[in-house]
Amino acid sequence: MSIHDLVSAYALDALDADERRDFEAHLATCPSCQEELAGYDDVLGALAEPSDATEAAADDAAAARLAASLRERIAATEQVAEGPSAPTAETAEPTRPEANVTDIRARASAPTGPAAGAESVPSSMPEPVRRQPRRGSRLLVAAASLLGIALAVTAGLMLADRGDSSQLAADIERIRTAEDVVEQPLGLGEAVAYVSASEGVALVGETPGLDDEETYQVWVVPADGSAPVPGPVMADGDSEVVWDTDLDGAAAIAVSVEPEGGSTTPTEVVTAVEL
Amino acid sequence: MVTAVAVEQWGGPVPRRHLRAVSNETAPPEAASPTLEELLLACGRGSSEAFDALYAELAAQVIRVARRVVHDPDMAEDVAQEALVEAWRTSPKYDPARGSARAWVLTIAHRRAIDRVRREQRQRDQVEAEAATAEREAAPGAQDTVVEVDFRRWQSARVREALDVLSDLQREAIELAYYGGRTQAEIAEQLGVPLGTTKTRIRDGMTRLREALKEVPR
Ligand SMILES: [Zn+2]
Repeated sequence: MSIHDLVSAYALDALDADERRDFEAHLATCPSCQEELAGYDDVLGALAEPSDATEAAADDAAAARLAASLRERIAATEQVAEGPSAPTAETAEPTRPEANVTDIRARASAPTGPAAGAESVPSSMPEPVRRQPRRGSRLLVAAASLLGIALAVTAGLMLADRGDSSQLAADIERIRTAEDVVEQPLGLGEAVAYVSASEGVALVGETPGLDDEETYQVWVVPADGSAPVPGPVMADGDSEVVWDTDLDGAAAIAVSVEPEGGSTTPTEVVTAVEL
Repeated sequence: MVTAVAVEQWGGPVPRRHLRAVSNETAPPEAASPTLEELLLACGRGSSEAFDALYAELAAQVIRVARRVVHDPDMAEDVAQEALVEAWRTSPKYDPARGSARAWVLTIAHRRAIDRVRREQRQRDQVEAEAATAEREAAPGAQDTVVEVDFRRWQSARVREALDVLSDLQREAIELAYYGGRTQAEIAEQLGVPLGTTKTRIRDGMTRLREALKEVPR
Protein backbone atom coordinates (compact mmCIF):
# COMPACT_ATOMS: atom_id res chain seq x y z
CA MET A 1 0.00 0.00 0.00
CA SER A 2 1.26 3.43 -0.84
CA ILE A 3 0.64 6.51 1.24
CA HIS A 4 -2.16 7.54 -1.17
CA ASP A 5 -4.11 4.52 0.06
CA LEU A 6 -4.38 5.98 3.55
CA VAL A 7 -6.87 8.71 2.60
CA SER A 8 -9.95 6.80 3.68
CA ALA A 9 -8.38 5.64 6.95
CA TYR A 10 -7.39 9.23 7.61
CA ALA A 11 -10.94 10.39 6.90
CA LEU A 12 -12.20 7.72 9.28
CA ASP A 13 -9.65 8.82 11.90
CA ALA A 14 -8.13 5.34 12.06
CA LEU A 15 -4.45 6.31 11.77
CA ASP A 16 -2.17 6.44 14.76
CA ALA A 17 -0.39 9.69 15.60
CA ASP A 18 2.75 8.96 13.56
CA GLU A 19 0.86 7.76 10.49
CA ARG A 20 -1.41 10.77 10.73
CA ARG A 21 1.53 13.17 10.82
CA ASP A 22 3.12 11.48 7.82
CA PHE A 23 -0.12 11.45 5.91
CA GLU A 24 -0.86 15.09 6.64
CA ALA A 25 2.57 16.03 5.33
CA HIS A 26 1.76 14.10 2.18
CA LEU A 27 -1.77 15.49 1.92
CA ALA A 28 -0.43 19.04 1.86
CA THR A 29 1.28 18.33 -1.44
CA CYS A 30 -1.01 15.77 -3.10
CA PRO A 31 -4.00 17.18 -5.01
CA SER A 32 -5.33 13.70 -5.75
CA CYS A 33 -5.49 12.82 -2.03
CA GLN A 34 -7.07 16.20 -1.29
CA GLU A 35 -9.73 15.51 -3.86
CA GLU A 36 -10.37 12.00 -2.59
CA LEU A 37 -10.58 13.23 0.98
CA ALA A 38 -13.27 15.72 0.00
CA GLY A 39 -15.21 12.76 -1.38
CA TYR A 40 -15.54 11.31 2.13
CA ASP A 41 -17.29 14.40 3.47
CA ASP A 42 -20.68 12.81 2.89
CA VAL A 43 -19.62 9.62 4.68
CA LEU A 44 -18.62 11.55 7.79
CA GLY A 45 -21.81 13.58 7.62
CA ALA A 46 -23.87 10.42 7.28
CA LEU A 47 -22.19 8.80 10.28
CA ALA A 48 -23.15 11.89 12.29
CA GLU A 49 -26.79 11.70 11.18
CA PRO A 50 -29.34 11.06 13.93
CA SER A 51 -30.46 7.45 14.27
CA ASP A 52 -34.06 8.55 14.56
CA ALA A 53 -36.26 11.59 15.09
CA THR A 54 -36.01 11.28 18.88
CA GLU A 55 -32.24 11.52 18.82
CA ALA A 56 -32.40 14.41 16.36
CA ALA A 57 -34.72 16.38 18.64
CA ALA A 58 -32.66 15.64 21.75
CA ASP A 59 -29.42 16.77 20.11
CA ASP A 60 -30.94 19.92 18.65
CA ALA A 61 -32.22 20.74 22.13
CA ALA A 62 -28.82 20.03 23.71
CA ALA A 63 -27.11 22.21 21.11
CA ALA A 64 -29.50 25.07 21.85
CA ARG A 65 -29.03 24.63 25.60
CA LEU A 66 -25.22 24.75 25.34
CA ALA A 67 -25.03 27.66 22.88
CA ALA A 68 -24.74 30.46 25.43
CA SER A 69 -22.01 28.85 27.52
CA LEU A 70 -20.10 27.94 24.35
CA ARG A 71 -20.18 31.56 23.30
CA GLU A 72 -18.75 32.49 26.68
CA ARG A 73 -16.05 29.92 26.34
CA ILE A 74 -14.88 30.95 22.90
CA ALA A 75 -14.84 34.58 24.01
CA ALA A 76 -12.36 33.52 26.69
CA THR A 77 -10.30 31.32 24.37
CA GLU A 78 -7.25 32.65 22.63
CA GLN A 79 -6.89 31.38 19.08
CA VAL A 80 -3.70 29.87 17.73
CA ALA A 81 -1.50 31.77 15.31
CA GLU A 82 -2.47 31.59 11.67
CA GLY A 83 -1.03 29.00 9.33
CA PRO A 84 -2.69 25.99 7.77
CA SER A 85 -2.45 22.69 9.53
CA ALA A 86 -4.54 19.59 10.00
CA PRO A 87 -7.22 19.21 12.69
CA THR A 88 -5.17 18.17 15.67
CA ALA A 89 -2.01 20.16 15.27
CA GLU A 90 -0.19 20.28 18.56
CA THR A 91 -0.05 23.91 19.52
CA ALA A 92 1.44 23.89 22.99
CA GLU A 93 4.83 22.62 22.03
CA PRO A 94 7.51 24.21 24.16
CA THR A 95 9.93 26.32 22.21
CA ARG A 96 13.34 27.71 23.06
CA PRO A 97 13.44 29.35 26.49
CA GLU A 98 14.08 32.93 25.33
CA ALA A 99 11.53 32.73 22.57
CA ASN A 100 8.97 31.31 24.91
CA VAL A 101 9.21 34.03 27.50
CA THR A 102 9.03 36.63 24.77
CA ASP A 103 6.03 34.87 23.36
CA ILE A 104 4.24 34.84 26.69
CA ARG A 105 4.93 38.52 27.20
CA ALA A 106 3.90 39.41 23.69
CA ARG A 107 0.64 37.59 24.04
CA ALA A 108 0.03 39.10 27.45
CA SER A 109 0.33 42.63 26.15
CA ALA A 110 -1.53 42.05 22.90
CA PRO A 111 -4.52 44.42 22.99
CA THR A 112 -6.84 42.32 20.83
CA GLY A 113 -7.41 38.60 20.49
CA PRO A 114 -9.98 36.86 22.63
CA ALA A 115 -10.98 40.06 24.36
CA ALA A 116 -12.17 41.44 21.03
CA GLY A 117 -14.50 38.47 20.73
CA ALA A 118 -15.81 39.07 24.23
CA GLU A 119 -17.12 42.49 23.31
CA SER A 120 -19.33 41.08 20.60
CA VAL A 121 -21.04 38.67 22.98
CA PRO A 122 -24.61 39.81 23.59
CA SER A 123 -25.10 41.39 27.00
CA SER A 124 -27.95 39.00 27.72
CA MET A 125 -25.32 36.30 28.16
CA PRO A 126 -25.48 34.51 31.53
CA GLU A 127 -22.49 34.68 33.83
CA PRO A 128 -20.02 31.86 33.18
CA VAL A 129 -20.50 28.97 35.55
CA ARG A 130 -16.82 28.74 36.20
CA ARG A 131 -13.79 30.77 35.45
CA GLN A 132 -11.89 30.03 32.30
CA PRO A 133 -8.14 29.97 32.17
CA ARG A 134 -6.92 33.21 30.67
CA ARG A 135 -3.55 32.54 29.21
CA GLY A 136 -1.19 35.37 28.70
CA SER A 137 -2.56 37.08 31.77
CA ARG A 138 -0.51 39.39 33.95
CA LEU A 139 -0.05 36.48 36.35
CA LEU A 140 1.79 34.60 33.69
CA VAL A 141 3.94 37.65 33.10
CA ALA A 142 4.63 37.66 36.82
CA ALA A 143 5.77 34.06 36.63
CA ALA A 144 7.91 34.75 33.60
CA SER A 145 9.48 37.86 35.08
CA LEU A 146 10.65 35.84 38.04
CA LEU A 147 12.94 33.75 35.90
CA GLY A 148 16.45 33.84 37.16
CA ILE A 149 15.65 34.81 40.72
CA ALA A 150 17.45 32.37 42.97
CA LEU A 151 15.25 30.70 45.51
CA ALA A 152 16.16 28.56 48.43
CA VAL A 153 13.80 25.66 48.70
CA THR A 154 13.55 22.99 51.31
CA ALA A 155 14.15 19.63 49.81
CA GLY A 156 10.86 18.44 51.22
CA LEU A 157 8.93 20.54 48.75
CA MET A 158 10.21 18.54 45.85
CA LEU A 159 7.89 15.64 45.62
CA ALA A 160 9.46 12.58 44.16
CA ASP A 161 7.72 9.53 42.77
CA ARG A 162 4.48 9.01 44.61
CA GLY A 163 5.02 5.29 44.80
CA ASP A 164 2.78 2.67 43.25
CA SER A 165 0.36 3.54 40.49
CA SER A 166 -2.79 2.49 42.30
CA GLN A 167 -2.03 5.03 45.01
CA LEU A 168 -1.54 7.66 42.32
CA ALA A 169 -4.80 6.69 40.66
CA ALA A 170 -6.60 6.87 43.99
CA ASP A 171 -5.16 10.34 44.63
CA ILE A 172 -6.25 11.53 41.20
CA GLU A 173 -9.71 10.13 41.77
CA ARG A 174 -9.91 11.86 45.14
CA ILE A 175 -9.04 15.22 43.56
CA ARG A 176 -11.24 14.71 40.50
CA THR A 177 -14.25 13.98 42.67
CA ALA A 178 -13.57 16.62 45.32
CA GLU A 179 -16.55 18.84 45.97
CA ASP A 180 -14.69 22.04 45.07
CA VAL A 181 -12.80 20.65 42.09
CA VAL A 182 -12.45 22.78 38.95
CA GLU A 183 -11.50 21.05 35.72
CA GLN A 184 -9.66 23.08 33.11
CA PRO A 185 -7.64 22.38 30.02
CA LEU A 186 -4.00 22.74 31.00
CA GLY A 187 -3.09 24.34 27.71
CA LEU A 188 -0.44 21.72 27.17
CA GLY A 189 -1.29 19.08 24.61
CA GLU A 190 -4.40 17.26 25.74
CA ALA A 191 -3.65 17.49 29.44
CA VAL A 192 -6.29 18.57 31.92
CA ALA A 193 -5.84 20.24 35.31
CA TYR A 194 -8.03 19.28 38.25
CA VAL A 195 -7.67 21.87 40.98
CA SER A 196 -9.21 21.48 44.41
CA ALA A 197 -8.41 23.81 47.31
CA SER A 198 -9.11 21.00 49.76
CA GLU A 199 -7.46 18.04 47.98
CA GLY A 200 -4.73 19.49 45.78
CA VAL A 201 -3.81 19.52 42.12
CA ALA A 202 -3.87 16.70 39.58
CA LEU A 203 -2.61 17.06 36.01
CA VAL A 204 -3.65 14.25 33.71
CA GLY A 205 -3.27 13.56 30.02
CA GLU A 206 -1.13 13.67 26.93
CA THR A 207 1.55 16.37 26.94
CA PRO A 208 3.81 17.32 24.01
CA GLY A 209 7.08 15.41 23.74
CA LEU A 210 10.27 16.85 25.20
CA ASP A 211 13.95 16.30 24.59
CA ASP A 212 15.49 13.36 26.43
CA GLU A 213 17.01 15.38 29.21
CA GLU A 214 13.98 17.59 29.84
CA THR A 215 10.95 17.28 32.05
CA TYR A 216 7.84 19.27 32.92
CA GLN A 217 7.53 20.75 36.39
CA VAL A 218 4.50 22.11 38.20
CA TRP A 219 4.55 25.41 40.14
CA VAL A 220 2.25 27.38 42.35
CA VAL A 221 2.42 31.08 41.51
CA PRO A 222 1.62 33.12 44.66
CA ALA A 223 -0.74 36.06 44.25
CA ASP A 224 1.51 38.35 46.27
CA GLY A 225 4.20 38.29 43.61
CA SER A 226 6.63 36.17 45.58
CA ALA A 227 8.64 33.48 43.87
CA PRO A 228 6.82 30.47 42.37
CA VAL A 229 6.74 27.43 44.64
CA PRO A 230 8.29 24.42 42.94
CA GLY A 231 6.20 21.29 42.67
CA PRO A 232 6.64 17.78 41.29
CA VAL A 233 8.13 17.00 37.92
CA MET A 234 6.01 15.36 35.26
CA ALA A 235 7.09 13.25 32.30
CA ASP A 236 6.10 14.16 28.76
CA GLY A 237 3.67 12.06 26.76
CA ASP A 238 0.89 10.29 28.59
CA SER A 239 1.43 11.47 32.13
CA GLU A 240 -0.22 12.02 35.46
CA VAL A 241 0.93 13.95 38.47
CA VAL A 242 -0.63 14.74 41.81
CA TRP A 243 0.43 17.54 44.11
CA ASP A 244 -1.09 17.81 47.54
CA THR A 245 -0.24 21.46 47.99
CA ASP A 246 -1.62 24.43 49.85
CA LEU A 247 -3.35 26.72 47.36
CA ASP A 248 -4.03 29.45 49.90
CA GLY A 249 -2.87 32.73 48.39
CA ALA A 250 -2.08 31.10 45.05
CA ALA A 251 -2.91 32.95 41.84
CA ALA A 252 -2.09 30.27 39.31
CA ILE A 253 -0.70 26.84 38.64
CA ALA A 254 2.10 27.02 36.12
CA VAL A 255 3.97 24.34 34.20
CA SER A 256 7.52 24.81 32.98
CA VAL A 257 10.07 22.84 31.04
CA GLU A 258 13.12 22.02 33.16
CA PRO A 259 16.27 19.98 32.97
CA GLU A 260 15.77 16.43 34.16
CA GLY A 261 15.04 16.30 37.90
CA GLY A 262 13.44 19.73 38.08
CA SER A 263 14.59 23.12 39.30
CA THR A 264 14.04 25.51 42.17
CA THR A 265 13.13 28.39 39.86
CA PRO A 266 11.19 28.01 36.62
CA THR A 267 13.35 27.89 33.50
CA GLU A 268 10.73 28.02 30.78
CA VAL A 269 7.09 28.54 31.70
CA VAL A 270 4.95 26.96 28.98
CA THR A 271 1.44 27.28 30.39
CA ALA A 272 -0.48 28.49 33.41
CA VAL A 273 -3.97 27.99 34.76
CA GLU A 274 -5.33 30.94 36.66
CA LEU A 275 -7.09 30.07 39.91
CA MET B 1 -27.31 -7.18 21.74
CA VAL B 2 -28.82 -3.80 22.39
CA THR B 3 -31.57 -2.87 19.98
CA ALA B 4 -33.28 -0.16 21.97
CA VAL B 5 -34.20 2.02 19.03
CA ALA B 6 -34.50 -0.63 16.34
CA VAL B 7 -38.24 -1.00 16.87
CA GLU B 8 -38.90 2.57 15.91
CA GLN B 9 -40.13 3.09 12.42
CA TRP B 10 -37.65 5.17 10.50
CA GLY B 11 -39.33 8.41 9.64
CA GLY B 12 -36.05 10.18 9.47
CA PRO B 13 -35.53 13.84 10.16
CA VAL B 14 -35.34 15.62 6.85
CA PRO B 15 -32.14 17.61 6.65
CA ARG B 16 -32.94 21.23 7.34
CA ARG B 17 -31.33 22.50 4.18
CA HIS B 18 -33.54 20.26 2.07
CA LEU B 19 -36.65 21.29 3.98
CA ARG B 20 -35.89 24.91 3.37
CA ALA B 21 -35.41 24.38 -0.32
CA VAL B 22 -38.67 22.52 -0.72
CA SER B 23 -40.89 24.60 1.51
CA ASN B 24 -39.80 28.03 0.43
CA GLU B 25 -39.60 28.58 -3.28
CA THR B 26 -38.82 32.24 -2.89
CA ALA B 27 -35.89 31.63 -0.59
CA PRO B 28 -32.64 33.23 -1.74
CA PRO B 29 -30.40 30.84 -3.63
CA GLU B 30 -28.20 28.57 -1.54
CA ALA B 31 -25.11 30.34 -2.82
CA ALA B 32 -26.15 33.49 -0.99
CA SER B 33 -25.49 31.97 2.44
CA PRO B 34 -21.87 31.34 3.35
CA THR B 35 -20.56 27.82 3.11
CA LEU B 36 -19.29 26.04 6.22
CA GLU B 37 -15.79 26.51 4.87
CA GLU B 38 -16.30 30.27 4.63
CA LEU B 39 -17.68 30.30 8.15
CA LEU B 40 -14.76 28.34 9.54
CA LEU B 41 -12.29 30.62 7.77
CA ALA B 42 -14.11 33.62 9.27
CA CYS B 43 -13.82 31.96 12.70
CA GLY B 44 -10.10 31.82 12.03
CA ARG B 45 -10.14 35.59 11.62
CA GLY B 46 -11.80 35.88 15.03
CA SER B 47 -15.46 36.29 14.03
CA SER B 48 -17.70 35.08 16.83
CA GLU B 49 -20.73 35.65 14.58
CA ALA B 50 -19.30 33.12 12.16
CA PHE B 51 -18.84 30.73 15.07
CA ASP B 52 -22.50 31.15 16.00
CA ALA B 53 -23.52 30.28 12.45
CA LEU B 54 -21.15 27.32 12.33
CA TYR B 55 -22.41 26.18 15.71
CA ALA B 56 -26.00 26.26 14.48
CA GLU B 57 -25.07 23.99 11.56
CA LEU B 58 -22.74 21.56 13.30
CA ALA B 59 -23.30 21.44 17.08
CA ALA B 60 -25.88 18.64 17.04
CA GLN B 61 -23.65 16.56 14.77
CA VAL B 62 -20.68 17.18 17.03
CA ILE B 63 -22.69 16.01 20.05
CA ARG B 64 -23.71 12.86 18.19
CA VAL B 65 -20.18 12.02 17.08
CA ALA B 66 -19.07 12.36 20.69
CA ARG B 67 -21.91 10.17 21.96
CA ARG B 68 -21.21 7.44 19.39
CA VAL B 69 -17.75 7.10 20.93
CA VAL B 70 -18.22 7.86 24.63
CA HIS B 71 -21.85 6.57 24.90
CA ASP B 72 -22.61 8.54 28.08
CA PRO B 73 -24.85 11.51 27.10
CA ASP B 74 -23.49 13.95 29.70
CA MET B 75 -19.91 13.11 28.90
CA ALA B 76 -20.72 13.46 25.20
CA GLU B 77 -21.99 17.00 25.75
CA ASP B 78 -18.87 17.81 27.69
CA VAL B 79 -16.63 16.40 24.95
CA ALA B 80 -18.65 18.22 22.29
CA GLN B 81 -18.10 21.52 24.04
CA GLU B 82 -14.37 20.86 24.36
CA ALA B 83 -14.25 19.96 20.67
CA LEU B 84 -16.09 23.10 19.59
CA VAL B 85 -13.81 25.28 21.70
CA GLU B 86 -10.86 23.45 20.15
CA ALA B 87 -12.28 24.08 16.67
CA TRP B 88 -12.55 27.78 17.46
CA ARG B 89 -9.08 27.88 18.97
CA THR B 90 -7.39 26.18 16.03
CA SER B 91 -9.57 27.63 13.25
CA PRO B 92 -6.82 30.07 12.13
CA LYS B 93 -4.99 26.97 10.95
CA TYR B 94 -7.87 25.58 8.93
CA ASP B 95 -7.06 25.05 5.26
CA PRO B 96 -9.98 24.09 2.97
CA ALA B 97 -7.62 22.23 0.66
CA ARG B 98 -7.07 19.70 3.45
CA GLY B 99 -10.69 18.75 4.06
CA SER B 100 -14.20 20.14 4.37
CA ALA B 101 -15.11 22.28 7.36
CA ARG B 102 -17.57 19.67 8.55
CA ALA B 103 -15.06 16.82 8.33
CA TRP B 104 -12.50 18.99 10.08
CA VAL B 105 -14.78 19.83 13.02
CA LEU B 106 -16.25 16.33 13.31
CA THR B 107 -12.76 14.83 13.30
CA ILE B 108 -11.76 17.06 16.19
CA ALA B 109 -14.83 15.79 18.06
CA HIS B 110 -13.98 12.18 17.23
CA ARG B 111 -10.43 12.53 18.53
CA ARG B 112 -11.53 14.35 21.65
CA ALA B 113 -14.04 11.60 22.35
CA ILE B 114 -11.44 8.89 21.93
CA ASP B 115 -9.08 10.76 24.24
CA ARG B 116 -11.80 10.97 26.86
CA VAL B 117 -12.68 7.28 26.65
CA ARG B 118 -9.03 6.32 26.95
CA ARG B 119 -8.48 8.61 29.90
CA GLU B 120 -11.51 7.26 31.73
CA GLN B 121 -10.49 3.72 30.92
CA ARG B 122 -6.97 4.31 32.15
CA GLN B 123 -8.21 5.71 35.43
CA ARG B 124 -10.65 2.85 35.93
CA ASP B 125 -7.94 0.35 35.11
CA GLN B 126 -5.61 1.79 37.67
CA VAL B 127 -8.20 2.07 40.40
CA GLU B 128 -9.34 -1.47 39.80
CA ALA B 129 -5.92 -2.92 39.11
CA GLU B 130 -5.43 -4.62 42.42
CA ALA B 131 -8.91 -6.05 42.75
CA ALA B 132 -8.83 -7.21 39.16
CA THR B 133 -5.59 -9.07 39.71
CA ALA B 134 -7.22 -11.10 42.44
CA GLU B 135 -10.29 -11.75 40.32
CA ARG B 136 -8.31 -12.70 37.27
CA GLU B 137 -6.45 -15.26 39.29
CA ALA B 138 -9.76 -16.70 40.46
CA ALA B 139 -11.42 -16.71 37.03
CA PRO B 140 -8.83 -16.54 34.26
CA GLY B 141 -10.08 -15.26 30.92
CA ALA B 142 -13.19 -13.63 32.30
CA GLN B 143 -11.77 -10.13 31.87
CA ASP B 144 -11.05 -10.68 28.20
CA THR B 145 -14.71 -10.96 27.29
CA VAL B 146 -15.54 -8.30 24.76
CA VAL B 147 -18.78 -6.48 25.47
CA GLU B 148 -20.73 -6.62 22.25
CA VAL B 149 -22.29 -3.37 21.23
CA ASP B 150 -24.79 -3.14 18.45
CA PHE B 151 -23.53 -0.16 16.49
CA ARG B 152 -26.71 -0.09 14.44
CA ARG B 153 -28.42 1.74 17.26
CA TRP B 154 -26.19 4.72 16.42
CA GLN B 155 -26.90 4.65 12.70
CA SER B 156 -29.43 6.41 10.55
CA ALA B 157 -31.51 4.23 8.26
CA ARG B 158 -29.51 5.61 5.37
CA VAL B 159 -26.21 4.56 6.92
CA ARG B 160 -27.56 1.11 7.83
CA GLU B 161 -28.68 0.59 4.26
CA ALA B 162 -25.35 1.73 2.87
CA LEU B 163 -23.35 -0.39 5.33
CA ASP B 164 -25.34 -3.44 4.25
CA VAL B 165 -23.59 -3.18 0.90
CA LEU B 166 -20.24 -3.86 2.58
CA SER B 167 -18.89 -7.27 3.45
CA ASP B 168 -19.23 -8.16 7.12
CA LEU B 169 -15.47 -7.87 7.54
CA GLN B 170 -15.34 -4.43 5.94
CA ARG B 171 -18.22 -3.20 8.04
CA GLU B 172 -16.66 -4.59 11.21
CA ALA B 173 -13.37 -2.80 10.56
CA ILE B 174 -15.08 0.51 9.85
CA GLU B 175 -17.33 0.24 12.90
CA LEU B 176 -14.43 -0.60 15.20
CA ALA B 177 -12.54 2.41 13.89
CA TYR B 178 -15.41 4.86 14.05
CA TYR B 179 -17.44 3.80 17.07
CA GLY B 180 -14.65 2.00 18.86
CA GLY B 181 -12.09 4.69 18.19
CA ARG B 182 -9.44 2.18 17.24
CA THR B 183 -6.55 2.62 14.86
CA GLN B 184 -5.94 0.22 11.98
CA ALA B 185 -3.14 -1.40 13.96
CA GLU B 186 -5.35 -1.87 17.01
CA ILE B 187 -8.09 -3.40 14.90
CA ALA B 188 -5.63 -5.79 13.31
CA GLU B 189 -4.44 -6.83 16.75
CA GLN B 190 -7.93 -7.19 18.16
CA LEU B 191 -9.15 -9.29 15.24
CA GLY B 192 -5.90 -11.24 14.93
CA VAL B 193 -5.49 -10.42 11.25
CA PRO B 194 -2.48 -8.89 9.45
CA LEU B 195 -2.27 -5.11 9.41
CA GLY B 196 -2.31 -5.09 5.60
CA THR B 197 -5.58 -7.00 5.59
CA THR B 198 -7.14 -4.50 7.96
CA LYS B 199 -5.96 -1.59 5.86
CA THR B 200 -7.45 -3.16 2.77
CA ARG B 201 -10.78 -3.77 4.52
CA ILE B 202 -10.98 -0.16 5.63
CA ARG B 203 -9.94 1.27 2.27
CA ASP B 204 -12.29 -0.91 0.23
CA GLY B 205 -15.07 -0.60 2.78
CA MET B 206 -14.86 3.19 2.83
CA THR B 207 -14.90 3.33 -0.96
CA ARG B 208 -17.98 1.12 -1.10
CA LEU B 209 -19.65 3.05 1.70
CA ARG B 210 -19.05 6.31 -0.11
CA GLU B 211 -20.51 4.96 -3.33
CA ALA B 212 -23.43 3.27 -1.56
CA LEU B 213 -24.39 6.50 0.17
CA LYS B 214 -24.69 8.17 -3.22
CA GLU B 215 -27.31 5.59 -4.14
CA VAL B 216 -29.36 5.81 -0.95
CA PRO B 217 -31.80 8.74 -0.93
CA ARG B 218 -31.51 11.22 1.92
ZN1 LIG C 1 -1.64 11.23 -2.33
